[in-house]
Amino acid sequence: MTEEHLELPQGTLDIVILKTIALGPQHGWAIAERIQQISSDVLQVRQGSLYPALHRLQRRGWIKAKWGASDNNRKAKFYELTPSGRKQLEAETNSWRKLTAAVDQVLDMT
Amino acid sequence: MLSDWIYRLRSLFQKKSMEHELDAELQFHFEHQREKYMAQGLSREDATRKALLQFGGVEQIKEECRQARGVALVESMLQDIIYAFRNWRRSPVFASIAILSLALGIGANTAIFSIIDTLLFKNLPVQHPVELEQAPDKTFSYQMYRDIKENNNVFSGVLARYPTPATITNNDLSEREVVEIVSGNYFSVLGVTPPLGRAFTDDDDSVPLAKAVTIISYRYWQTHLSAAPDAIGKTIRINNYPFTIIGIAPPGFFGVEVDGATDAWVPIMMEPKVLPTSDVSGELAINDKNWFWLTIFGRRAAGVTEKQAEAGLNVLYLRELEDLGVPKARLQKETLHLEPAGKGISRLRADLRPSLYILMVVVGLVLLVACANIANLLLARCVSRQKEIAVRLALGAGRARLIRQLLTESVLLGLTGGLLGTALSVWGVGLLLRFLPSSRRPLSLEVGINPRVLGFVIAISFLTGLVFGLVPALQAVRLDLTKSLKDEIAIVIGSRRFELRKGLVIFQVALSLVLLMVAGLFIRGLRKVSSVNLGIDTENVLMATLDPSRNGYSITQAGNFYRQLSERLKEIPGVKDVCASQSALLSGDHNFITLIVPGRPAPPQGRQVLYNEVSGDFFGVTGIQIKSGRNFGPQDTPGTSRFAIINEAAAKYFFGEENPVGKKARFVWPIEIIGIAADSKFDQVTEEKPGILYFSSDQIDEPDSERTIYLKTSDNPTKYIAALKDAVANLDKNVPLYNIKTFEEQKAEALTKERLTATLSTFFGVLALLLAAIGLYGVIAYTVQRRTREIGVRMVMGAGRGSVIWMVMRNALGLSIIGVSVGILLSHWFSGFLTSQLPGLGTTDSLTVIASSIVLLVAATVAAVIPAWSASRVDPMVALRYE
Repeated sequence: MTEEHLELPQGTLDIVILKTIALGPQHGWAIAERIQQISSDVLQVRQGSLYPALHRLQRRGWIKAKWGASDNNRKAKFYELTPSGRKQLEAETNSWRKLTAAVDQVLDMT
Repeated sequence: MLSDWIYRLRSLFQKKSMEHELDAELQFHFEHQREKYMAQGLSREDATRKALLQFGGVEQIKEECRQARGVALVESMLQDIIYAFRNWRRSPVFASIAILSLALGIGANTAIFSIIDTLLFKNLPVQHPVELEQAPDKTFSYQMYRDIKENNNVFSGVLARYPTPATITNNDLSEREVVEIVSGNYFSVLGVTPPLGRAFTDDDDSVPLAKAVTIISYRYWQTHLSAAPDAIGKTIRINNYPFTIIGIAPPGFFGVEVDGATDAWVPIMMEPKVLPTSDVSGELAINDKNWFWLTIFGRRAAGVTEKQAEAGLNVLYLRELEDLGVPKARLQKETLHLEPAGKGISRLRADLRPSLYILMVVVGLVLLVACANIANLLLARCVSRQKEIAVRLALGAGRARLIRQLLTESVLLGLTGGLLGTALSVWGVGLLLRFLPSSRRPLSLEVGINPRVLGFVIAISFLTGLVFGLVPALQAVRLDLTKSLKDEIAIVIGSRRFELRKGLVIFQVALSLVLLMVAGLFIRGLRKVSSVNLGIDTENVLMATLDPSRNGYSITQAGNFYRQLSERLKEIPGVKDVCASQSALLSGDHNFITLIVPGRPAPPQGRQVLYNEVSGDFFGVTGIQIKSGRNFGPQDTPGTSRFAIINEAAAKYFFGEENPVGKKARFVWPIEIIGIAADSKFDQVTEEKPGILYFSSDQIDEPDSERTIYLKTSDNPTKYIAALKDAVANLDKNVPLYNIKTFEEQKAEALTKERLTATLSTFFGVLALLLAAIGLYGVIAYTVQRRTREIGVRMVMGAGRGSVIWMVMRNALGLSIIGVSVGILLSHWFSGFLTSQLPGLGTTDSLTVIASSIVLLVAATVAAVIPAWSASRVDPMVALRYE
């Protein structure tokens, strides 16, 4: 089962997290779950990478954290995008698209 | 970037709550995960186990989060600093020696740098000093100044000034001060605003003698008017003419000259009341087209470069000269050059620059010796800290992390030393300035800690910490863990590190030798100039200067004043004779004239000759012999033809082998030479034999009214100061008497610069020697400790105490001799630098080399004696059981 899971490199993990919470505030566990679900179980985010990444993104001022109540009414820390995080997400999405398109072209070469 | 650091700092200071939040968050995550597995049908136990397994090391995640928060760097730095302080407390001797030698080294550097900074780098306290320009050595008539001021298109403002000594009288206290005669726009062009009262305006300076107003210096206001706000509107007398104070200059502003501090400013239109000479010519200086007296400063207009300003100024200047009838062919040579004037004018600057640069290099070397010393101590400490470092390495500390910690410690040492050194330097510079005689102390040279000096201290302390800390730190972490942990210190020490320490000692000894030799050179130079034959008898002579014309006396009145004074002084019991001269001997003041000898070609170096107006029996009092012909006498009055006495050097220069006595010559008027005087020094001690022409003040139409009088006394001349003051005060209590001193003091003051350089370089040389001796002591003591066992064995085998002492001493002397040899090589190269800076200094001679080497070897012997003696006291039985 684990063989099919891919670990994300740091930079890529950052945009995936940003994208995930762009739709609305999420707590850590939900972010990991969401990424796994949407990527059809291909991308797996380990706690060991997730939480340091969340702290790093906070330090850069792209996301901020708030304590709130989770779905089953327990206290959880919710992360949401800041305006500068939103800009960063756009910029990174664009460059990611360009990069993958370019890499695709090269790989599709016959 | 800023928010980044705020986050880091918040993480640091709210560490507890952040850790707590992280715990809660991870716990929440874990529980959610477990619930998910249970929902998939696993039992509670299985779900817990699976979730835990997946989670991995909680502590590791936390640590990574901390890293991500960026707190680690700040936090570990703080830890390192606290750790360093704890270490100092554990070894106070090491810490105090290190900090003290650093403080001395950095303090010396800061002191010299702050003087250099004040004299060479500091800008005048004016607005935008970089825009100010001046034409060095060029003077202008008032007409030329007005033309330039009004018709140039390169300056936003041009000011004119003329500094002059004057008598300022306030509440019956008359003193000799410097007054600057300035154009009405002086303060506005400089951008200097009086904190009290107002600045001059053009209106103050438009009609001759209309507005007797003055602005006084902050210093004068504080010392003479008790800083009273109602000083504005009060009257002080300048050269016995009343002036109304309209403003106080800001503190720290002493005019555009750095050396001479101006105490009062007056408008150019008041010049006739401040300058005595123009009374005689009968014409106002402002109307005299041929008197080039003003120096000018311009502020460049926006966007105008120095070259453009120069070109613009030259157009006007050369046209003015042409109008005055200067031939076209000569105009080319008259072109003026502009120089930045933001730092003000200073005669001292050029005079002291070479000595200051040499001293800066000297203190730099002292600091290097200090660095070597501390590096040496640190290396020694590495041995005792070996185990601690080994334990930390074994526990998984990274080498880079350890190096960072050791460097933090040494940089901290550097900064602490720097802090202490700054305090030392402030004190030292104050002391130094007090050594300067008041006549040679630039009043405006207020050395202090400014941002530039502070930057220098921080940079040098930081750098110092890195320099002496890097090698020991790298050495410290390079060790064999297993051996270190097994306590086998003797093996682990490694000969490499010890070689390094020996190398450092050799380096220290070599540098100290260089510094001692530099000191030797300066001392030799001082002795040479001190013992030089002045040609003047300085014994039992009291001298003092006065100038009645600065109290409104006409030339005739001043002449009478001097005659009466001389008669009264001669009546004082114990005063053998009295005379006077226009330029005070050995004061640095001098005047030149051009002498034309009919029938002889112009001498190769031009017709310039020094001259002095004398009265009374000048030659008798000063002991300058009349070699042939006759002395001036009472028969030489204005009615007779004008006579001159020439000294041997000038006679040879102008007349060759001919006997000049009885010959006629000419400068402004025809003269006849009546005698030849022996050669003597004139304005300074260091000059070669100067050619001098003497005139009698009694024969000259406009003799200088500033004269220095000399009292030849039968015993200690200082006893006559009170009588001299009384005699002057009885004639006129408002005529100030200044530069009162004995001729011996005058001679000593003339050598101030030489003596200070010699004293300072000796001090620094001895300091370096002391540091090197400490370094040597450390290494030798360590060797003895390391060889205790061997010494014990030797003693058991029958070696006597003497041979043990010799063994240790041989070791120390060996190192010193290598150091001395390296030092001799180094100083050979260094004396090349010295002579390039101070050509008169001379090069290292064998006597200086031998003397410095002996001093060093003696110091080395003293440093080695204590460890050698303790080696000889080793008890063989204890030594063999050592370890």
